Amino acid sequence: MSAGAKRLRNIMLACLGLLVLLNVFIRPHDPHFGLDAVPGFWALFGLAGAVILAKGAKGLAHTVLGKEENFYEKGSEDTRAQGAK
Amino acid sequence: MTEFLHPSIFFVVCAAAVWLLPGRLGRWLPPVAAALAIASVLAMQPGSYTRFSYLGLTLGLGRVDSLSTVFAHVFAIQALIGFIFALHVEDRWQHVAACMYIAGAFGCTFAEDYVTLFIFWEMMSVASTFLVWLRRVPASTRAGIRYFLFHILGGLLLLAGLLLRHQATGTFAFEAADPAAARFYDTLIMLGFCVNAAVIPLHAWLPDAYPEATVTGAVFMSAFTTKTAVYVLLRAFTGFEILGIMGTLMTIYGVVYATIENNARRILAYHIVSQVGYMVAGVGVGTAMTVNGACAHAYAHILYKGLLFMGAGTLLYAAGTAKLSELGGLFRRLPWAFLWYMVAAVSISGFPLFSGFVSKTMTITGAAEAHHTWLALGMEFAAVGTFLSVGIKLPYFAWFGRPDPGIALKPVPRNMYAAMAIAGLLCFYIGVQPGFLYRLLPHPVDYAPYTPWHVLQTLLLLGFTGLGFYLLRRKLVPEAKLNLDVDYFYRLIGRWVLALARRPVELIDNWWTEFYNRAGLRGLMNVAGGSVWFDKRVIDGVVDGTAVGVRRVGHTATGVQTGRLQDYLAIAVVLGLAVFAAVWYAG
Repeated sequence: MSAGAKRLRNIMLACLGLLVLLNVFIRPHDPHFGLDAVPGFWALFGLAGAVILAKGAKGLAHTVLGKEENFYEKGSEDTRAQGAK
Repeated sequence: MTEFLHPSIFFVVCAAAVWLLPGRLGRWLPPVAAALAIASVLAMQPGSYTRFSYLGLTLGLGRVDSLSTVFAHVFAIQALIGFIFALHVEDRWQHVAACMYIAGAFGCTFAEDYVTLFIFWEMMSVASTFLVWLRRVPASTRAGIRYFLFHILGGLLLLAGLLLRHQATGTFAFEAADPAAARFYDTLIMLGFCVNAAVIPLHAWLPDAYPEATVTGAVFMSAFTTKTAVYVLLRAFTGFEILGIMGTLMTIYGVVYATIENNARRILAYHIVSQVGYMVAGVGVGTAMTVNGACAHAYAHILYKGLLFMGAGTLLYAAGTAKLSELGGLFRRLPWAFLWYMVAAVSISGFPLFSGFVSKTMTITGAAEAHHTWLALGMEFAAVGTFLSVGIKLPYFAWFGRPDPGIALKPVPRNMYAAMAIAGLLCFYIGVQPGFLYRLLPHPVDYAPYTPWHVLQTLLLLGFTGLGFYLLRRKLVPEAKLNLDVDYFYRLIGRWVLALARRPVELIDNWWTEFYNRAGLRGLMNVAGGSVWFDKRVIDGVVDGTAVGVRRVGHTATGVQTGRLQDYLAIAVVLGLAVFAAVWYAG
């Protein structure tokens, strides 16, 4: 990783830290269930959501859902079709 | 009549003119028609117009109220943007199809009774099918057939429902159904609407057909079909709780598929399922705030989704492919397309200052305030997925990611950039001036999007989604694969059933040929010659070569289907009449 990229990453991480810090002072005006009033809840929700979605969706794609690109064309004589470009 | 001029008129006249005018002149007419439509929508006063009696029915083509106006408003604007984007297209049939499609959407929006609604509904189905076929490649021909057959199913559900409803209540009036006293016919009508709203598991036509449509056709289709369906759901089925649950499931279902898809336009298509989910959920929760949220989100969504399809369409137009696994590093070579794509991407992700922020949070907050906490949380989760796939993954791999693979790029016409600029600026304008949008909504708005907490919550949610992507960026590399969806069932199992059915049908066919020869039906058939000529010359002429392509596919895949376009249209009419006859007879 280049020095510039490293600096950019550190700046971004610092921004995220700052947002969580702000969350200590700025609280939801009307929390809908107890937990969402805790500082950092939505940060954790976003991170966990992204990880669960990425792992879960890729897991589905690698097991049941993923097929070769010409899956539906197989077995038909029409071999010219290539699917969407 | 001075207070109401039906916008469909402009588009129907325009379609006829584009068809008849020689040369390239016709291309300039659709934007003019769209501008006239904007003027007519702005001049409209609430009321009921263009009522007339036909065969003992009272039909109403012009119901103008706060609900129909907000949809007509954005339909007219998006029609103008779409036609500017399509200005360079020389194939006049694409303009004709788009005009008829939009005319159908306006017809549905102002329809006061189910008969009128059904006629315009079917007009949209047929015209949008042509927007798929007119790409004129084998894959789009087949996707168009599947698309059309599935919409026939939706249309038949609607038709059966509205006829049964007429039997029971004696009226075709298109009005709200009572969630506490819903009848079987209400369910049928709702299912018909749900096909077009792409409610899971009736959604597979959308990610199947939209990526195969023409570059400009996809821009139109992303705006009108599903949002017309949201409008009719709002009109008839507000407060049906099942829609709240299905809508939230749609938001998540769409982003799961978008996360693993490779084709940029298919990612966007799955995001229509996801985003329309917010609107359907808003309809289902049914409070004033979520109804407002559904309308506002439809308005914002039409603009940014059109822009996303324009951005991905520009990639496809210039590079010849929309597959992420073949793209990369294009931001230097297509900087304006990149910029406007990103405006749409941050809008759909709901970033502060852009349109999605002022509409999406409204629906979610509304659901939470109505004590549907799980629905609200589901929608927040989908918001994470939206940003992950459209906001980061797609741009990262299309515009940055790998070094430029050195694809030869076709120059992009200026009108495409102009259309993207208009849409992008509108996304930004609505984001900073939400009052413009809120004033159009059917209920008074008691919601302030720009509170410190709403902004901070959104930034936390999206910022940490970005961190999640950063940590998993190697895992999310797009793969050149196909992902199964529910269309599996009607593609492969349908093929098996047809293979099984082939023998009996062949027997009947042989018997019929024998009968035909002996009974001397030839004279009768000569009468039909004229209509056959129309079929061959007119319909096949429009979709040049499509019938030939379809026939080959139909021949190998089924043996039962004759694979000719005109036969499908005829089957649609016959099935419709059969349902009509059955219901009237039963009553």
